[in-house]
Amino acid sequence: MPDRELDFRIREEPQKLVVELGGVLDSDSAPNLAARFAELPKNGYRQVVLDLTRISRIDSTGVAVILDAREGLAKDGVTLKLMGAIPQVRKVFSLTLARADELSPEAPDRGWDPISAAGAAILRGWRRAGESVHQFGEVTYWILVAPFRGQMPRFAATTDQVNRFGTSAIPIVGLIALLIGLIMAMQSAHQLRQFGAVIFVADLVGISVCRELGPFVTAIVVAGRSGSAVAAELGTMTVSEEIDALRTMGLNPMRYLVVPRILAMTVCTPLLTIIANLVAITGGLLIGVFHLGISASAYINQTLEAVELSDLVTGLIKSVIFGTVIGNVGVFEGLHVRGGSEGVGQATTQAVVSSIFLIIVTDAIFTALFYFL
Amino acid sequence: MPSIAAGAGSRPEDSTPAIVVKDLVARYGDREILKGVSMIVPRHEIRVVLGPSGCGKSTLLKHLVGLLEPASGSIQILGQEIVGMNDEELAQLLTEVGMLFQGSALIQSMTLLENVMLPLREHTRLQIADAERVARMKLTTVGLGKFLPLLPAALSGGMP
Repeated sequence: MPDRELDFRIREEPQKLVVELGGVLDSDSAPNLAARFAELPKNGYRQVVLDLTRISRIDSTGVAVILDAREGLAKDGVTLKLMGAIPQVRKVFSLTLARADELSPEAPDRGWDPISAAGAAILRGWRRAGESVHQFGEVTYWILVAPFRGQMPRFAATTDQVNRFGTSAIPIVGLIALLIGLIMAMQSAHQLRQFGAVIFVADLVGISVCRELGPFVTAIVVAGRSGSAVAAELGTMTVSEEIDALRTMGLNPMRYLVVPRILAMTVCTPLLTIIANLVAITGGLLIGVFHLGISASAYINQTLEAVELSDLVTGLIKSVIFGTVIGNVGVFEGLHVRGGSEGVGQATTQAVVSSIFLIIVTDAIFTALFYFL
Repeated sequence: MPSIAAGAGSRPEDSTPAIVVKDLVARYGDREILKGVSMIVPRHEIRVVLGPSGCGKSTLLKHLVGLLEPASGSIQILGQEIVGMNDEELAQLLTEVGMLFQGSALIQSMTLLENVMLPLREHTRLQIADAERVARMKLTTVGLGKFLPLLPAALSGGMP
């Protein structure tokens, strides 16, 4: 089509080059213009005048090519002057340039600066820490203070969440705990048999499970199974504006969504830990009875003598803290999702990674406290 | 873009405007989105906010219901200043305000009936049976009576 062809004429004048364009400058013809600009003679002139009088139509691609040319010429110290545009062309320019002017200039590429990167990471971490402390304060208010002001937690919703995070997690927690018990018993039996002390398998399994492995393994399962679910669920609600919708209905998302989940997680984790402890000890018992030739009653008595109440209590205290940590991390990541479905995926991953990290940190702190106190 | 309705349930004889915005400035980080917006929306009148994508329409509406804190300026809804209002007062005021979000923003884990019952259960003393009756009535009125037990995802695009 002749009217879609770009007419490109060059006329040299003193100190400047006049380029006359004619026809349609759109996504079809713009690449040709870019090539023509690249071939412009460089005879020491300081200005290129782009005469658009005969351009009958232009689109944003055409504007972009002209802007590119302007930047390219500017690098050589040459200015590009536009003139003679018909109203349609002026309108496209004004719309496109108005937007272009709003774009923030790109930061100069300074390469990777370790100090800046470290500073940015510290600031980001500081901000997240502040936000998470704020969230924890709000949750604490709704759980511990609000009930005395007549705003009770939503027990029905909490029960639902207990069922989701607790009851339905029993099979997987039980299976993993059984395997842990079997593994612990087999590993320790291998060593203790050399000293004729296989009965102490019961001591080792009982104490290690109640003090450490039961709470720890349960917390890892809860973080992977339920912490991620909370992050994904609240993240999806955030990006689909359901959280905003709740606020505009005058409902506080903390009370309505967050508190039931964190309460449920805090209650479920120690309960699951108790189950995990019992099942893991049963795993040890199975090895003791069927492989090491210890009677069931002897194994149970040995376990009861070895495991003190403090072993059980310290493990359960840790599991309560683990549950609180997992719940808060899942909620925090979920409510801070940005960027749609991709953000939900990142928040879910981050929730699991952060939860496991914080579980280990908390475990180390509490183990040290119980050890030294 | 979400749409907003204020003044439902308010006294018709009250001449206070539904919405008064004065010199509202909103920022995302260093970027200024609203640069001194002022407007008045009288009660029982319909106003349309028009503008190109990214000009701040949703930002304006989110400020009107307290979802975002302005950098400066004043926002009065039904005669009450909401800038600096505490959460409890704002929650109470928002029972008088409706906002329909772009993506409909129904709670996806609740059925259509439960979604409509939600504010009735949370903000009134209605028994569950009564709240359900009211919700059924309203949904039937708008032709959604057959879809009460469906989750929002099961509804076709135009329904919610």
